Amino acid sequence: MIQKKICLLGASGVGKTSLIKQFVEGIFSEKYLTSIGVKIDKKQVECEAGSVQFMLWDIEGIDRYCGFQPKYLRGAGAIIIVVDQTRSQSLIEGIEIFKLARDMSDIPAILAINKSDLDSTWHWDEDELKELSAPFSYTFLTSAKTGANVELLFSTLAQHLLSEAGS
Amino acid sequence: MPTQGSSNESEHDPQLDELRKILFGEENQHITGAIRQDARQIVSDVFSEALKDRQDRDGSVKKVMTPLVDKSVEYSVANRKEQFVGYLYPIVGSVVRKSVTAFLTEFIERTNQLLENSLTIKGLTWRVKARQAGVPYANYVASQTFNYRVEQVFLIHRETGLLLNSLAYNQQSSADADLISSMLTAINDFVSDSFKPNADGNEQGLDIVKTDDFTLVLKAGPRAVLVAAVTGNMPQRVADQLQLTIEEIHTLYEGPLADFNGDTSAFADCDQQLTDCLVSELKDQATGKKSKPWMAWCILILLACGTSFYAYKLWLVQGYINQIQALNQEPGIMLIRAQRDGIQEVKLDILRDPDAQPINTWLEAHEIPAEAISLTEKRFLSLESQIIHARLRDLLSNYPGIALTSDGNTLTGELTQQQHHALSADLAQLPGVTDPQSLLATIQVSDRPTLALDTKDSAMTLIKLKISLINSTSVEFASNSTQLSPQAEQSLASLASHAKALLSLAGQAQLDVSFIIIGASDAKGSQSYNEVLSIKRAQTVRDTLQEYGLPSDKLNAIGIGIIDVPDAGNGARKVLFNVITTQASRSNG
Repeated sequence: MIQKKICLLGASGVGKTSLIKQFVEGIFSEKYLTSIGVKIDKKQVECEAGSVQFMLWDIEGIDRYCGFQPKYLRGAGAIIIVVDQTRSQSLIEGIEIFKLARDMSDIPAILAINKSDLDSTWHWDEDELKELSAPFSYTFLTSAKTGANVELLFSTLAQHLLSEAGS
Repeated sequence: MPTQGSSNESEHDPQLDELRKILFGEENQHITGAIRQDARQIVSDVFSEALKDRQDRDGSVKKVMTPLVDKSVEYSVANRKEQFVGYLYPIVGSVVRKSVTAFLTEFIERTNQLLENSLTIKGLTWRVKARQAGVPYANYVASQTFNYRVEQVFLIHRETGLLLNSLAYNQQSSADADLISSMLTAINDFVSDSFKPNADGNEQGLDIVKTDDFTLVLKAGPRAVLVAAVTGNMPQRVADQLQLTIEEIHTLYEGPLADFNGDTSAFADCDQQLTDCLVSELKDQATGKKSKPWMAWCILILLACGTSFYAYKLWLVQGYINQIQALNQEPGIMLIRAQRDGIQEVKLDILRDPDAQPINTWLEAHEIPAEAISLTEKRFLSLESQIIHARLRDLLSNYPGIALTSDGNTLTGELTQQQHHALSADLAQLPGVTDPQSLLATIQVSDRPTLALDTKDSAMTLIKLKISLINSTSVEFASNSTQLSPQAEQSLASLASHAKALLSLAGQAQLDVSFIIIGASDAKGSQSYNEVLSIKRAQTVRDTLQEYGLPSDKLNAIGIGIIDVPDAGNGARKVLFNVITTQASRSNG
C-alpha cells in the first residue's frame, strides 16, 4: 500500500469539506462548516493495481484577498481544485488558485465542479469550460450532497497515482 | 632544476598517466582485477573481525542484520516447515512449560497488583484523583508510577507529512498515528510560516509542545521528523536519544527517504531504532515494604462471615424441616408440605383435626421457634382412634357421670332416660363413631324423672325424638303368618320401653298420646283374606305391647290390607306404627 497526500483547494463555500465528508463517511452534512486552517482526514482506496491511502488535506477556503498557505501543498501527490457551478466567481478564483499552486509544483490537478445536484447558474458555456479545464488532468462534475462522481473522482485519482508510481 | 622539474612534472603528466596506464591498466583495472581475483580470500580473512569491530564501534551491524535474519527465518518457516518442526520439537515442551509458568506468575502478580491498586487506600485515592482530573485511571497510575515514559514514537516524512512508522508503548491506547502525523506537519508548517526565520535564516520549527499530560518532542532531520509523546517530567536524555535515532535513521535509510513516493514498506524495519526511543523511568519507590492490602482482607473476612452466617442459617432451617417431618406421626395432623422459603423461614402446609394437638404447642415442645415457621393450616376430620377418643372425651365433659373405659370401646356410668337419649343423639352425630349403641350398652339408665328440672321446650324435643323413634319402627312378618319372629319381639320390647317413656313425658307435658298400629300384607291371595290377615297382625302386635304394660286404650290396631308395592317382597308384610298427639283435654276439662 502506498500513501499519498492530497490537497483540496477552492474558494470559500464551494463544498471541499462536504466533498471529503461524502467520500470518507459516505454522508453529507447539511450544516455548513467553514474549515479553519486545515482539516485532515484519511481514507483507503482499493483498486486493481493496489491500494492507496489518501491523507486528505482540506485547506481553508481561499479568496482573492488572502493568499493560501503554500507550505500546505508541500509533498502533495495531487491537488483537487473545487469550484461551485452556481457561482461564476468560484471558477475564476479556482483557476487563480490553480495557477498559484502550479508555480510551486507540477503535480497532477483535478477540477471538481461541485453542487451538480443544483441547476448550473453560471454563464460559462461548454467551449469556455473546455478551455479552462484543459490544464487539469481530469475534470469531474460532482455532488457532495448526492455523492455523484465522488467515489469515481477519488478512484480515478488513485489509479492515476498508482500508475505514476509504477512507471 | 626545481623550476625545470616542476615544468617537467606538468609536461610529464601525460607520460606519468601513460606509465600509470601501463602499470595499473585502464581505470586501474590491473589492480582491481588483481584484488578481485583474491577478493573472496581477502574479505573472508577479515570478515568476522570487521563485523565485530563495526558492531563494537556503533552497534550498526546488529541493526542491519536483524531484519535480514528476520526475513531468512520467516522464509525458512514458510517454506521448510517440516524441518523447522523437527528442530523445534525437542524444545517445544519445555518452552510451553516455561511460558505457562511465566503466564501464571504474571497473572498472579497482576492480580496482586490489581488488588493493591483497587483495594488499598492509595489505589482508591488515585482512582478518585484520576476521576477528578478527568484522565483514565491507567494514565494516572502511569503518571504516579513513572517519572516519565515515552508513550508513542512517530517517524514522519518531512515533506509530505506521511507517517513512515510508529511504535507505541501500549498498542491498544495508541491514537490514530496517520492523522496525528499529518496534523503535526500542518501545525509545524503553520508555525514556520507564521514566524520569521531565525537568525541563521532557517525556518522556525516546533521543538517541544507541552500539554497538561503530554510533552511532544520533535527532532527534525533533513528528510524525516521523529516525534515522541512523553508523559511525566521528561529528562534531556530523551531528546538526546531522539537526536541519535533520527541521525541513525537518516544514515541507514538515506535512499528510501530521498526517493519516498508514498510506499512506507521500506521503513517497516526501523522498529529496531524506534524501540530505542521507547524509554521510561520508574519512580523510586520509597515504600520498600509491601503494604498489606488490608481492605482486601476486610472484604474477604466480611465475605467469609456472610457466607458462614448464611450456611449456618441454612443448616438451622434444614434441621427444622427434618424435625417437622415427625409431625406426620402425630394423630389428627397431616403434613402436606414443609420446605425452605428464603434462608430463615420454613413454609409449612398442614391439615389438622380440631381435636388434634395445636401446631404451635407441638413446635414449642420441639424447641422450634414459631417465627421461623410460616404456617398454613387447614381443618379436616380425622378418623384415627386417638382423635375419636379425644372427641368422645370432649363430649363426655357434658355428662359428668359418664366415663370412657380404658380400652375406649364402652362407656360406663349412670344417666337418666332423658340424658341417655341426648347422649345417644350426640354420639350419632359424632364423626368416626360407628356404633353408638354398643358404646351406650353398658350405661345404666335410671327412671328417675328429671323433667321437672327441664324446661317445657326440652321436654317437647324429647317427645318428638321418641315419636320419631316409634314412627320409624316396624315389625316384619313371614309370608301368610301372624307369628312374631324373635327379632320382632326384641324390637317390640324396645318400642314398648320407648312408648312408656313417651307416655310419661307426654303426661308431664300435658299431651295426649295414642298409638296406631297398622297391619299390612303383600299382594298374594285375595283382598278380603289379606285384610283379615293385616288386622290379625296388628292385633298380635297390640296384644304383645299390652303384655309389656302399655294401656290398651292407647293402642288402636287397624289393618289396611294389601300394600301393593311391586318388588316390595317382605317389605309389605309388616306392622307399622304411628303416634298421634293431641293437647290433653282431660286435664283442661
